[in-house]
Amino acid sequence: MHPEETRIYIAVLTAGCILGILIIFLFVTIIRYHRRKVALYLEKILADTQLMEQDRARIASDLHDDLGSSLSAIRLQLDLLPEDSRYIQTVTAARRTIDDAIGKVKQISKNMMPITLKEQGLKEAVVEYISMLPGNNKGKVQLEWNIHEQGIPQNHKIHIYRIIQEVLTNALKHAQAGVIAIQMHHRNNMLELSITDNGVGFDKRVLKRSRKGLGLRNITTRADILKAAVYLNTAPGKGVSYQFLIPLPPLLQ
Amino acid sequence: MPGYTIDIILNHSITIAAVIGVVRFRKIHKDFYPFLLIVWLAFINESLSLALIYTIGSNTVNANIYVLAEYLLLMYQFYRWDGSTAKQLCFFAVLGIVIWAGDNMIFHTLQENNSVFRIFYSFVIVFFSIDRINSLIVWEKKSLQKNAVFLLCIAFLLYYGYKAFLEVFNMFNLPFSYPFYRSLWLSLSVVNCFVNIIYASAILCIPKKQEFILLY
Repeated sequence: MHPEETRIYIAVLTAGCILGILIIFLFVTIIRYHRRKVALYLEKILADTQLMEQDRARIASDLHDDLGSSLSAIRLQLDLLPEDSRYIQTVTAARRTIDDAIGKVKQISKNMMPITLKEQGLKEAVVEYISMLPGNNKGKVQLEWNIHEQGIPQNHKIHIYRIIQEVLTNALKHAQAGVIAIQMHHRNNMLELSITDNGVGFDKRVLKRSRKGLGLRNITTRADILKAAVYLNTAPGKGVSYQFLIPLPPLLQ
Repeated sequence: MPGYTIDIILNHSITIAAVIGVVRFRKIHKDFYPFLLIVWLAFINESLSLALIYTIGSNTVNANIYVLAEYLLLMYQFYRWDGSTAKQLCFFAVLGIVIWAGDNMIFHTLQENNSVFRIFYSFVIVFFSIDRINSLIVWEKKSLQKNAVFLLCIAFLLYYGYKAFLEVFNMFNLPFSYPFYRSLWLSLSVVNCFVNIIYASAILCIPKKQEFILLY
C-alpha cells in the first residue's frame, strides 16, 4: 500500500472504530436505562397493587364488620317484633330481603379479600371462589391442583388468586365458555398455572392495538409483579388458553 | 495467501450460528424462521463464493443475487416482528427490487461489484433496526440483555452501518490500489465475524414460545 493510502486506511479504520464504540456505548446505555425503567415500573405496579389490596381489605372489613353487623342487628330486631297477622307478610319479605343482603355483603367481602386465602391457603380459596360462582357456572370449572403451598409467600398467593379470579371472570363473562380447566403444577423451579376454556376466543392483535381489555391488563400486571412469563393462545372461535410460569423464590425451589 | 485464509475463516464464522440454528430449530419460535433462513443462506453463499473464487475467480454474480435475497428476507423478518409496519416494509421491499434491478441490470451488470443497492439496503435495515430498538426500549418489560430481537438489531446496526460506510469507497471507484481495497474488506470481515458471534448468541436466546406482552 502507498504511504498516502495507509494514512487513509488508518483514518477509515479510526472512523469505523469510533462508529463501533458509539454503537457499543448506545447498547450499554440502553441496557442500563432500560433495566432502571423496568425496576421503576415494577416498583410502581407493586406499590399500586399493594395499595389496592389494602383498600380492598379495608372495604371488605368495613362491609363485613359494619354493614354486615348492622344488617344482622336489623334482622334480630325484626325477629323480636311481636307477631301481628296484619304485618306478617311484610315482615317475612323484609327478613328475606335482609338475609339476601347479608349473603351478598358476605360474598362481596369474600371476593374483595378472601379470608380463606390467609387461613387455609390458595387451593381452598380458589375452591371457595368457584363454589361462590353464580348459577350453573361452578359446574363448568375443573380444578387440578398438584402443588405444595408451604413456603409460597403470601403476596405471591394473593396475586395468583387474583389472576385466577380475573381469568375466570373473563371466561364466564365474555367468552361464554362451557368448560374451564385450571391446572397448577410444579415445573422445574417454577409453578405452572394453566387455565383453558372452550369459549369464543379473541384476536390478540386486535386487542393489543385497541388498548382495551382491562381484565387482561390486570392479569399481565400481576404476572409482571410475580416476574412470571405469560403465554396466551387464542383465536376467534378457538377458546382461550393461558399459561403462567411463575418463578419460585430461591429458598423454595 | 494468509490474508485470504483469515478472510475465509472470518466470513465462515457464520457456520457457528448456522449450526446452532439447526440444533435449536425445534425450540425456536416460528417468528424467527426468516432470520434462520438468512443465516443458512449466508453460510451457503459463503461456501459457494469460496468455491467460485477458486474455480472461476469471481463470486460477484452469487453475491449480487444473495444481497437481494437477504434484503427481502430481512424485510419479511421485520414484518414478523412487528406486523404494524407492513405497509412501509412492502414499500421498501418493492423499492429495493427496483433499485437492485436498476443497479444490476440497467446501469451495471451482475458480473460487477455493484454498490448502489448495497448502500440503499444497508440504510433501510439500519433504519428499521433503530425503529425496533426504540420500540423495545419503550414496550419491553423484561431484560433486554437476553432479548434476541434486541441483540439482532444491534448486530444489524453494527454490520450494515459499517457496510454502508465502506460501500461508498466502492461506489465512487476511488483510485486506490488493490491492497488498499483488500484491507478495507478485511476490516468488514472482522466486523462480520463479531456480528456472526452476536447472531449465534441471539439464536441461543430465541424463545420457543412468544410471551404475551401488553403495552403499558
